Amino acid sequence: MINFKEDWCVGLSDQEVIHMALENMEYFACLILKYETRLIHYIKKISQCEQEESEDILQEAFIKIWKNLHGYDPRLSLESWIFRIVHNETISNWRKKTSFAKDHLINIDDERLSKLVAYDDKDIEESEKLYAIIEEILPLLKQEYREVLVLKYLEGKQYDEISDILKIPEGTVATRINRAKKSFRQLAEGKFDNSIFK
Amino acid sequence: MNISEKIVNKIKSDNIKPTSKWAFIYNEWRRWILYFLFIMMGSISFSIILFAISVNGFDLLEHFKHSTLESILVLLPILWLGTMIFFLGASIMSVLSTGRAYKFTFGKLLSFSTGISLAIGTLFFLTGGAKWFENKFETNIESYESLLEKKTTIWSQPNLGTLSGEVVSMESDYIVVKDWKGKTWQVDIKDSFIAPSTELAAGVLIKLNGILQPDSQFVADKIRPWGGAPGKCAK
Repeated sequence: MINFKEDWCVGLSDQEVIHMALENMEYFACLILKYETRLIHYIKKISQCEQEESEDILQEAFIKIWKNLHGYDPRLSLESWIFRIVHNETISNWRKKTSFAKDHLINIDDERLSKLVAYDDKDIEESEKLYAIIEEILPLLKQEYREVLVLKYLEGKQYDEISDILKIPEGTVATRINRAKKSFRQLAEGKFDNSIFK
Repeated sequence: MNISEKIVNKIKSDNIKPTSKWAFIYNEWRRWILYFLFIMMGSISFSIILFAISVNGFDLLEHFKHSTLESILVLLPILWLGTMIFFLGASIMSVLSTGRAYKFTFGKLLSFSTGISLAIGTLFFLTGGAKWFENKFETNIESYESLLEKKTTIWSQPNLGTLSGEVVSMESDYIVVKDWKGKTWQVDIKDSFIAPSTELAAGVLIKLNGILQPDSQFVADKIRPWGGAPGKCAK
């Protein structure tokens, strides 16, 4: 039986929610409510999961977040910490599957993806052709490249946030993004009309 | 039922509790304590390497007929070199799993840990800690070949240009030296460099670089004091 009401969360910061949740666990629902939509979206983007499977991953991730609540380091933003756990849970789930990358397409519907194929984040005119490329190429990228591109361009994360989520140095984030973009372009140029990149 | 209700229900029905904060504090401290422990072990290993260098002296290199690399490997205590590398690696593995270590590249962590190890090791060597530690090893571990034993071995290879032992008698152009196995050598010292700290007299322990001659004769290039008690094998 849950007594939780959404108006409990009004005006509470993340830190206060954590504090309250440790007193009354139902306040934990405030964190879930705040992040669930974005996290489900994120899970779908870096994996091929459908809604139901994404919710299962999210549930497992939030149970881990709950178990590790005392392990949260306040020097890190809570959002990055939550993303890290959800990311790890998604990857862990994804690794259990064998032929994900070759057999499935990622559901891409975010206009920010258009920046992916641009050098130096320069805008490129959007087109259906571009989306077709993105949908086809992104799943073919190595996992480590796909995840940085999704975090940077779909989630709009800064380098330090990506560093916190993936637990790698910021320099490595920058290098990986550059390599990911190069790899993306090479794959795309081999498959599609080069004029799309000019 | 929405997602948040489902999750909260699951946590409540399975009675899942957050892990104690002390478990996290303990784990973090354990990693840091292990890190510093491994750094200290690496430092001790490095200090004994310095001690080995000070005992043997790298000027031996020019007299060895083997390759420089091989000679260095002979002179360096491989055991301590190995333990230093092992403990450095272990220290980095420990610190890698601490909270914010991921912010630093492996290269930075390696440089930092190596720097600390070398600094503490040098301090340990300068204060005599390495010698004390080495003596403890020699005394307590039967199979351990001490640096002095190794030194005795290195300085008892006439065919490679090293000889050591006790001065038995002296003449104007040569001295008679008894090596650690009791064999006597007639050593030509006409053109030898004799280190100022060397007092050539009967009963003095010395080490020599030079060239082996037939019939237990040796032409010395350099003569220096032995500088320390011989190892177990010399007794």
